[in-house]
Formats: sequence, structure tokens, C-alpha cells
Amino acid sequence: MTSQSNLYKFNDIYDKTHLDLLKYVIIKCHNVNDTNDIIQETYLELWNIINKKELKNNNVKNYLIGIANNKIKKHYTLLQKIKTISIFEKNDKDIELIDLLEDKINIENLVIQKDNWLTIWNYIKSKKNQDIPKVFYLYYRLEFSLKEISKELKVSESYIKNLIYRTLRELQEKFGNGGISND
Amino acid sequence: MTNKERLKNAIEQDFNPTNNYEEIIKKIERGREMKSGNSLLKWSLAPICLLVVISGIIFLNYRSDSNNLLESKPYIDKENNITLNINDLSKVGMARLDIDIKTVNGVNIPYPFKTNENSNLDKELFIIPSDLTQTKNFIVYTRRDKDSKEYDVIANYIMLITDGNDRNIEIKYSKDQQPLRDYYFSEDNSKITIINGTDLKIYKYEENFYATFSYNDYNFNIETSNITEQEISNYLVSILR
Repeated sequence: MTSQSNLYKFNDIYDKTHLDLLKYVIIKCHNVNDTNDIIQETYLELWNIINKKELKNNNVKNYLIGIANNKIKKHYTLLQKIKTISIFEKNDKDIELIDLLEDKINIENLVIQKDNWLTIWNYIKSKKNQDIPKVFYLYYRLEFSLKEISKELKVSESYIKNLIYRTLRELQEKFGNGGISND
Repeated sequence: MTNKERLKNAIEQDFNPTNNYEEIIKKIERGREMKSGNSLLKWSLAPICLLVVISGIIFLNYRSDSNNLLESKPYIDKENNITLNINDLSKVGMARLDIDIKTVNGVNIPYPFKTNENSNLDKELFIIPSDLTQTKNFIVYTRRDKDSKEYDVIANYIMLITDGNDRNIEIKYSKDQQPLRDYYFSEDNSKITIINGTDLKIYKYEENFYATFSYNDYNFNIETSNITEQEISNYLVSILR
């Protein structure tokens, strides 16, 4: 097979799998900031494989997920994995309170300058508890329900609500009232 | 635009499929350039390798001139009044070849001699060591080219005369080309033996003899193992009638 026809095949696979792979890597990685690197490494590996052998189209997505899984494992040292284990404050009383305040979890209540959102997203990604950017990605980008996020991340819905509520409150304090963060 | 949409846009901007794709393509291109650089290095080394090979060949030929011809001793076959000029390969060396072939045995193959077919074990026609009582036939196939999956081109035929153990006479022959050999050695400056008007080149390496010649419109390459000089001499004389 020529390099050009391999590129057509690669492009086709990329278009069909990119979103699924992105979701998988974001959920599985230890730091969301590494997502793009892992995605690129995964597709580069796929490109090398396409140039060496024939791939069956029916299982290419699972095949790609397998490559990504290996890339994630290789990407992090044991020390990095230990460092990123969540020690987020899971206060049961707090979670119960958040359950009662569900209706108040609304991003639209934030008063933030419209051109600050990329900075805000980068701030969310920089959180030590990497469940926060994962939850925000699934909730606001993919518009998953709390139940779906709970299933994907294997955490309780209350925990997810807690993360969202606390983070929104923090964002309001840091970036709210039309101001810019002093940090 | 709502805050939710603004955050969604910011996330999409960060995990942008187009940007990621462009980065991947750049890395692929960089990989290609590195490969290309490597092949440039490879090709720049090619003349050096060629020079080494040519030097090696000249050196081997020099050795061949000085050792193979001068030091090899003729074998006198008094019985047939023939002097066999046996080229000694022990000093010039040989290399085993790893040939990509497929061998099919137990098949009918053309008979290359002038005598009656199926008589290759006939003791009256051919002078064969008495313990070599078995024969086996093979066809050796090669591929048309390196991309071809089928082994469908006949390279040569093999007639094996054996004691069933380690004493063998292997007669390889082909009409269209030289039969494939398991070993490579230089034939340059080899001394020639003439038997009944046929020119042969005979080589010896350890306990093996190699004889190359053309006869009856076939190209022959006979390889023996654990066969004496007298035995190979007798057999060659008997087939080259």
C-alpha cells in the first residue's frame, strides 16, 4: 500500500475515533494537561502500524484504545502516579449539603469577563485534584449527566456535585465580578 | 453566549482535533526527514562499503592466484588415465548462502544424461559407490520477484544418490541457468579438468567436492559429502560419456 493511501486510511480513522479517544485519555490519564501529548503519541503509533501491516477496520477503535492505554502507562513514572492520587476533601456533611443545593449549581450565575474563559479552563486543569478538570470536561463539554460521569469516573454523584459546586464557587471568588485574578 | 458555551469553547480550543492532527502530521514529516537523512548517510557510506568490497575481492583474487592455483595438487586417476585438477578451497574460503527457495521432493524430473532414463543407479552404466543405493528427486522453486508470494519459478532439479546417512552425491542441474548452490566461492582463476571433451571445474573443501560443468545442454553442479577423490573421479567419468 502506498504512503498516500495509508494517509487516507489514517485520516479516516482519525476522524472517526478522535473524540472517543480524547474522552478515554482524559478519563484515564493522571494529568489532563498531558492529554494532547498522549493523543499525538497514540496516533503516531497507529501511523507506524498502518505502514507496517493491514489493519482490520472493525476493531480499529478498540485497537487504538489499547495503544492509548499503553501510552498512558508509559507516560507516567510511579512517583507521578502516587503524587496525583486524589486527596480531595470528601466531607460527608458537605456532600449532603451540596445535595440539597443542587439547583444552585449553575455556571451562569458566575459573573466573569467573557474573554477570561481560556484562563479559567487552564486554571481548572492546574488543580491538584485532576478529577476536577475531568468532571468539567465531561459535564460542560460533552454534556454528560451526573449519573453518566459517575459511571465513567467510578465515583459517586455526590462527589461530582461537590467538585462542581466548590470549583464554581472558587472561580467566582478568583475571577468573578468582572475582575481579573490577581494571581 | 452563555458561560457554559464560553467554557465549552475554551475546552474545544484546548483539545482541538485540527491542531492535534497538524501536530501529528508534522511529527510524521519530521520522522520521514530523519529517515531521509539516514538514507543519505546510508548512501554516503555506500561508496566506502563498495571500496571495502572491491578491496576484499582483489585481496581474495590475490590469495586465489597465489594459493588456490599454485598450491593445489592434481589428482591422478590412473584407472581412467585422467588428471583431475582439484582446486583447494580451504585457503580461499567459502560462504554459506541463505537462499529463499521452496523444495518439492518425490517428483518426476527430467533426465539429464545421454544414457537411458531411470538408469542412474545402474552399476554397469554409472560407477557409483556400492553403499549408495537410494535415490531421491527434488525440484527447487524460487519466487518470480521479492514481492511475489508464490514460489513458481523452477530454479533447478536435484537428483540425490545417498547411503541414507552422510555419504551423498547431489546432482543439481538446470537448462536455463546455473543451479543454485548452498555455498559461494570464487571460481576465478580455477584450474580446469577435461573429461571426454567436457570442461569441468572441481573444488574441494574439507570432505566435500564440488564440480561444475555443462553437458548435454544442461548446467550441472555436483556436490558430494564424504565421497573420496577416487569415487568422485569414477562417477564423473561414468556420466561424461
